[in-house]
Amino acid sequence: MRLAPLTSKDSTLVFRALLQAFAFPGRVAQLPPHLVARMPALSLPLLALTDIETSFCAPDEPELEGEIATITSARISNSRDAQFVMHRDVPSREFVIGLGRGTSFRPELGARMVLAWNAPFDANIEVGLGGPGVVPGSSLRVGHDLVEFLAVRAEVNAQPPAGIDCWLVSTNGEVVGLPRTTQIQMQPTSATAGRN
Amino acid sequence: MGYVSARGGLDAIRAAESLVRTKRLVSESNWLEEDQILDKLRLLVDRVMSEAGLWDPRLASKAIRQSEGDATEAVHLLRAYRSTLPRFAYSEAIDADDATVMRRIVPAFQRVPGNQLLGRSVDYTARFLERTGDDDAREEAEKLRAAQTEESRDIEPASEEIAPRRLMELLREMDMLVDRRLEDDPEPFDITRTPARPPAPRSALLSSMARADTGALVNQWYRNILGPDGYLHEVTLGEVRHANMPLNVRHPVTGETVTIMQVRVSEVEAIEDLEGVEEDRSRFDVGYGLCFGHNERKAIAMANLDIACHRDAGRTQLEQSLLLTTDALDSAGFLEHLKLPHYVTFRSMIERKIAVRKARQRRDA
Repeated sequence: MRLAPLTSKDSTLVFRALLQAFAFPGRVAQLPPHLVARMPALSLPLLALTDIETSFCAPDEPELEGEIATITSARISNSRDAQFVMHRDVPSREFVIGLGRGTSFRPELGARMVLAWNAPFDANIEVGLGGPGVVPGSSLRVGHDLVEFLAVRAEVNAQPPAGIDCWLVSTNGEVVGLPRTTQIQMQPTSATAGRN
Repeated sequence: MGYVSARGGLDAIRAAESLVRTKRLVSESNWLEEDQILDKLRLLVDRVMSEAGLWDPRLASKAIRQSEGDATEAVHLLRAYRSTLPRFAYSEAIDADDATVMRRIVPAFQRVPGNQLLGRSVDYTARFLERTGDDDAREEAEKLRAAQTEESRDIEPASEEIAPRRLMELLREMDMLVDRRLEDDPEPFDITRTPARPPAPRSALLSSMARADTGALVNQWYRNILGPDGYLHEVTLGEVRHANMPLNVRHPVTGETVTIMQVRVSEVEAIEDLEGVEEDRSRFDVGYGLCFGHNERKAIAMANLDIACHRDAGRTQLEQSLLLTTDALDSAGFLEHLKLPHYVTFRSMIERKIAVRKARQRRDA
């Protein structure tokens, strides 16, 4: 087993990092390094946030999915009903479109997605960020595959307050929050593939 | 939950937070240990745990220290922390008679099944402020400690004192109580997941009152008991208990019920005289109150309001008032949000006044 239950203190530390990431979209927060050293950073948000009353899925990480369910007692569900979704690879357009978005009256039912973020290793595109909590001029470096995901994300968040919230988590525990309120503008920079 | 967020000059907010933290940590007095808060301010710890809906004495004492003794702020800290905790299991229903009683009084009957057990109480104590010097108090404490050690060797409470028979059982045998027990066993309403709104099941009302602000509940009780809302109750307390109650969960592997901890509770059964036209005047009814910790004031108010709400049956706003206005965090949160910037709101109000004035001037011209 690669995962272990979080103590309430560690759980709080993870929660604070995720909260910080959502409070300042685009700004990199750090998951607790001592936890990142022990287990996959991608799994930490689910270990901290899921419990017996929540549903989740991790379709491309079945082993971790089973471990998280055992540790947290959270229910494994299909992606449409999952409150939390963990994905190692960038998910397909159909997958994202099919996630629960909640409704105008129950926006809290929208899925929260934890997605692996490979920056800065293959991030060669810089996108601009806007919306509540975003410091003006903020940007985020992402890879080509994530750009496609961000476009689909914009589609599913087109009818606020329904939508999905995302955390991008790197292997070394860096986390960037992209709540549904954050708008993303594609912008060419010196680091983009087009310039290079 | 009420209003908590703030927006504004980030530097000013950080400076204010820093001032609070610095003044709290850097002072001339000795460091306030958690054990001292647990031991010397036990009733405050109990109250905070009860209103926070979280049984953890050590965390509650941390919250009290962080909030500098502000009980409502301590409740806020604990509720916020509690909301981040995962749920691993659901507790099993427990029989209140499984509790180990530390104090039990029955004001309604002198000779009751089991004994009156006063326990730790100032109910019969004249309220004189002790102005003894610290040295004298310490000396007295040493003597008491020595005497306590001697006495404790001989005390072995009898089983009927630990789990005394209830007065209600006696009244039932006398056929003096209406029987409101239900055939079905519905799942209790979870107020931590869904806000309770009237009409709500009794479990929602009891949960809300168990977590309510003590002062708010006593205020509601006093208003209800004195009669400005049209009621005048004949109230007698059947049981007032302070007890250790087991918390049981089902073991995830064996499926067996296991006791994982004990929580202290105050429990009250209030006997209500029925005199309504449509009520059974030959019998009594009973209200029930139970809350975390040693807080008899709250449990008594709760038990009386439970039966008052049942008898009210939606005729007045009592249920609405209990469900919607007694939560410490809701009421204090709404009140305190008034301190946050309202520049836009107030500017709008001024503009409306000016518009009204202009319209009046045009009309008078």
